[in-house]
Amino acid sequence: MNDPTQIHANVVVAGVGGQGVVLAGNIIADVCMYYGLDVKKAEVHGMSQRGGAVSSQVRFGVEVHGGLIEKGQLNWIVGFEWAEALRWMPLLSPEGSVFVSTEEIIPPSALKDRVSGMVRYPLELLDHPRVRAFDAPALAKQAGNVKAAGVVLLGALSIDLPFSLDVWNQALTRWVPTKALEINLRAFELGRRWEEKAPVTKPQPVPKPITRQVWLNLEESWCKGCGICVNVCPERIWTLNQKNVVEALSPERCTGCGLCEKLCPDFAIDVLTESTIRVNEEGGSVLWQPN
Amino acid sequence: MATTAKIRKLLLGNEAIGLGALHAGVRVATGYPGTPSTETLEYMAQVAADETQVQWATNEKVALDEGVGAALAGSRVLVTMKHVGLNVAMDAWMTSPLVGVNAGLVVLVADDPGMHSSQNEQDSRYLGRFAGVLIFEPTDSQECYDFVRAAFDASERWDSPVMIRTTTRISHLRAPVTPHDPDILPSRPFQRNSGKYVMLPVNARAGRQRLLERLPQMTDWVESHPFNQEEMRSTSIGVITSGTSYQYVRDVMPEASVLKLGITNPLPEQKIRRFAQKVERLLVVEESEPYLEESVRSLGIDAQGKVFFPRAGELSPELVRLGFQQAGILEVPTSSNPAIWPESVMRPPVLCPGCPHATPFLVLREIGAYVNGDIGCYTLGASEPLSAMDTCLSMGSSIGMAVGMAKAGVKDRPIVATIGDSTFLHGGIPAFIDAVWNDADITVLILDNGTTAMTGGQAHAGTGTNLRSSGLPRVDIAALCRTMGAGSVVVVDPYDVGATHRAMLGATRYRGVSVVITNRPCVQAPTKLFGRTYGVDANLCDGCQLCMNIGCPALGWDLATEDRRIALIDADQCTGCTVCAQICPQSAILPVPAGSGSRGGK
Repeated sequence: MNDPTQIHANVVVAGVGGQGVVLAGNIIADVCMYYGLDVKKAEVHGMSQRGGAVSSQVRFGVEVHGGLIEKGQLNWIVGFEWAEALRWMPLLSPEGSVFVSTEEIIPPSALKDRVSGMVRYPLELLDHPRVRAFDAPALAKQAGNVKAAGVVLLGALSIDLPFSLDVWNQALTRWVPTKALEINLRAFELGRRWEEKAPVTKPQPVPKPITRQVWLNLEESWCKGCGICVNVCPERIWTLNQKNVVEALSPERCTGCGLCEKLCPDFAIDVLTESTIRVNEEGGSVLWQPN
Repeated sequence: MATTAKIRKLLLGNEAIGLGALHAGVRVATGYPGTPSTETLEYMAQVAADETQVQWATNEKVALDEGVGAALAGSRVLVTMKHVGLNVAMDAWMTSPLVGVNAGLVVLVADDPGMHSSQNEQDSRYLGRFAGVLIFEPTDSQECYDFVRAAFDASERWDSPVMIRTTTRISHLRAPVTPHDPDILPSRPFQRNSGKYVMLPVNARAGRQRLLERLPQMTDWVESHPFNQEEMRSTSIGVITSGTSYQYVRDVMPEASVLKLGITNPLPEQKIRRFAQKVERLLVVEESEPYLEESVRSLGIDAQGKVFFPRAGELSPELVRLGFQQAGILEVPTSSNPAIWPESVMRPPVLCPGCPHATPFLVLREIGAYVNGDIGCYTLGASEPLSAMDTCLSMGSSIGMAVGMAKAGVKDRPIVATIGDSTFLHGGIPAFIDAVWNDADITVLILDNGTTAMTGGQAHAGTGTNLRSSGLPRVDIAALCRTMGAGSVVVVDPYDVGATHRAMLGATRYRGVSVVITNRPCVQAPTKLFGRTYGVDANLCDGCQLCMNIGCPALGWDLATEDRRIALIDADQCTGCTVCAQICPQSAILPVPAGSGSRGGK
């Protein structure tokens, strides 16, 4: 493992589209090329680059065949984002280890439970000896630009690999745009010293379900069945019934945005939330109260 | 060039194909962007000599027509497309082998097994065989480079186009390439030969005869071709394979004998027979269709393939291992105790922060129209939370499908076709003319963001640029729609939610073909666009979640409050498009005072 010309290993760089995952993989591959190793690197291009999961799988050794890493043969994960590193952990070899940023990018699809407000994302960081999580963006900021967080993580990885610092720096020089090079070289160096330099990560409190209450009031006799509320409701809670009068199909899904109330030409809908009631109380005229 | 050519380079398969084509003396390269083929022309545009023509075409058929024309005129040509692009070019593709070439014509067709970024996963080898052309299947970047160079020679030798067939894992595999000295080519000027080049039935019949005569000759040639390589190791198992599957077989079963097919049409029948005789058990490992397996079986040879290796999706080392296990060749490991890791999160692609496509879909959802979508970033309008698309079939299909719906008598809701600028110019125009001609009552919403966004921001006929040129004539889409006979054409700014709503309402009430064009540029390409960052006033926000319906990745929740989820804007991601601020019922989303917002930590 210590001879850089004989090493055989598989590394995944994982992150979200736009984080520089492809570039980081190229830098690793470039270093391997310097030592005369064979390299295969599988990249993600296309649709996933629109904010989806992106990875570079880098395989290197004296002879390497396919570009995809088999389960149980992954030696290092370099995670630019917490959940993206998690995605690859089931592929780790028994000795494999992880360098991961504590940055959490929660995708819009994880924020679907609007009534409970629960987040479908593994917020809690792992306490595991082979998972080394630290605040890479903070070190990148120290280096001069938060966008160099990926290079900070590469710096951390470089300590585990038998390649010389000079060769890493040459590879950075080749792949990083000149105007950002100085910051990235600094970021790489800070990454190599992450254990002393990175700020202590405070555990994030895990959120509880919210307790918002919304009251819907419908004056059926005023509704003429125009269907405006049916179309505008983001949660699709309204429907027109057989009498051509609006009816709340799933009132429990109402988040209280009040769009239906504001756009109803016949003033047939009231949407009351705790905050609107509070306003009314302050104004001294409570229009309606839930039983 | 000769002195630097020997340096080992780290190249994508696509880039290696581009470099190989340039070193083969290509003077014209064209294609239409499509994952996973796109990087080939982009790379060529960067590294080619000034006099080399590298340009995007309006669609794949046009590209192939240009390719045949340039080849007949004496220039070696590379044409690139994705698998479904070949369907668009199919008319020219099927007849081009009858016409033949003068200088070499190589067509890169990049398949996408697993449909990473595609609407189907067809196996283009059948379409190569269908046309009766040679198919080269490289297994890594070096072979991409070497095979494309050999393909040009083969094209000229056989007077026929040649297909280079890759898959996502070959096109997007980055690996070392050692280039060789570039070819020096004799001049091959255009020679008039209407008897061969004009496909009147009488000439086409002769062309068909030439094709049928050369097929057995090509088969003989392929028998001894070094790209079809027999690698003898243990004789207990023999594997016939090609492309990326070859690499997985080598990784998973290094001891197996392998017949690696670099040319998969026509197939070297004798070589296959000899290999089958040398091994005790014969397997065929290939991605997608049982193309090789059926061919081997049709020779009367007993071979197994798809019974162990899946036909749907792409292969992986795991799936190849599993296949060998199911075949009883590899042992199934006794259960180990793997570490249990927490589950990750689904992260489907989303529209970017500030994407000008968000508002039109918000509006379509409110109007409740039947929406026929098309191929591009805006297909994401189908996914949550926008959820405002009913159909999407193939490039340019939206308009035709909308016409079909209207003609089927759908009247309960407005019928809308949404199509991007590049897709409209690619395949939407004939359908648009048809809609006007047949008086269809539909609304065409053209989402003009001034680029081909999904594939990474390529030029098209409406941008006034191409890969290596600027200041070109540009198609005025609004004027074009009027010229084609649309009765109502409105151009609207999609960052103005109210105006977009009014424009769409007006258009859907119009009787006949109406057009709404949204005209904000893509926030990613050709340049990244940022405006003033917006933020949420926590005192005003009541957590009503309305803004979350945009699906903007810059919008999230403040998890600190317990009674509601106040919206939170990531200042590093916010582009300042103002759409969320416009729809917020509490007017709680406001510009961040200058100097207090962060952007990229600078």
